[in-house]
Amino acid sequence: MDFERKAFYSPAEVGEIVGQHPSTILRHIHEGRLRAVKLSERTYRIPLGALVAWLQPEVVPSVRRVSASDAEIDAISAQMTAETEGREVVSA
Amino acid sequence: MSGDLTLQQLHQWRATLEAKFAVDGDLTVKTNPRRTGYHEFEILVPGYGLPLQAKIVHREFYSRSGDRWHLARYTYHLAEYARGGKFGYHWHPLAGAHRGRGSIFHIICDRAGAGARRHFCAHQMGILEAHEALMQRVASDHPIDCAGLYRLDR
Repeated sequence: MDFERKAFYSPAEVGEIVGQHPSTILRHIHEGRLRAVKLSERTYRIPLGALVAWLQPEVVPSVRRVSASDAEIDAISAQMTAETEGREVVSA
Repeated sequence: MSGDLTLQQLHQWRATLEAKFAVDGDLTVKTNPRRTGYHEFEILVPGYGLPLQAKIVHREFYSRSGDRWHLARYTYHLAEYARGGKFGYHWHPLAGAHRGRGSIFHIICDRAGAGARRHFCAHQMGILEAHEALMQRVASDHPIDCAGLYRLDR
């Protein structure tokens, strides 16, 4: 299914993509079939990956697996303990 | 996940987290077979070949006691690349004025363009709760700000 790719979609935008009313999309969200981030009582945003997973449930999202070395893990642990106000924290 | 876990439960929990995070962006999972208690989940949002908007990194250290594992430290951390700023829920010992107080639940918040990172009070956060809170920040129309947070007492 072709649609504009962007980071997040409103229920109305998802409804346009799949030809369903926004209230139907909200029902999918509330019933757990479509993953959405809840911003407020009535405002949801659907991540692109969640939309793709919903439209293509047979496709398993790919996951990259990396081995963390002992030195890397020790460094992360040391950084945590060394964290102080204003100093570089364990960075994302 | 808090509480004491068997090794099998720990692996099952990791698989559960993997499935949840994989739909939020490009997921990389880091582990070490010799360091069973450590895992890291890096989620590049939105992924799928689009420009990087934010990076979320969850790191947890589990400690072993007999044949059980319990959560000992964590950092659940967001860096916004599109709008700037960082925000994280952390639980680990701090240095400086907080040295010797043991592990402390705290928030770090760094507004885009602000000066030194600040530490704020926090309660314990589960990884899924923290992830959802960070994803809310990424998905919102507003950049990271530190309003309403209480500075960590010295």
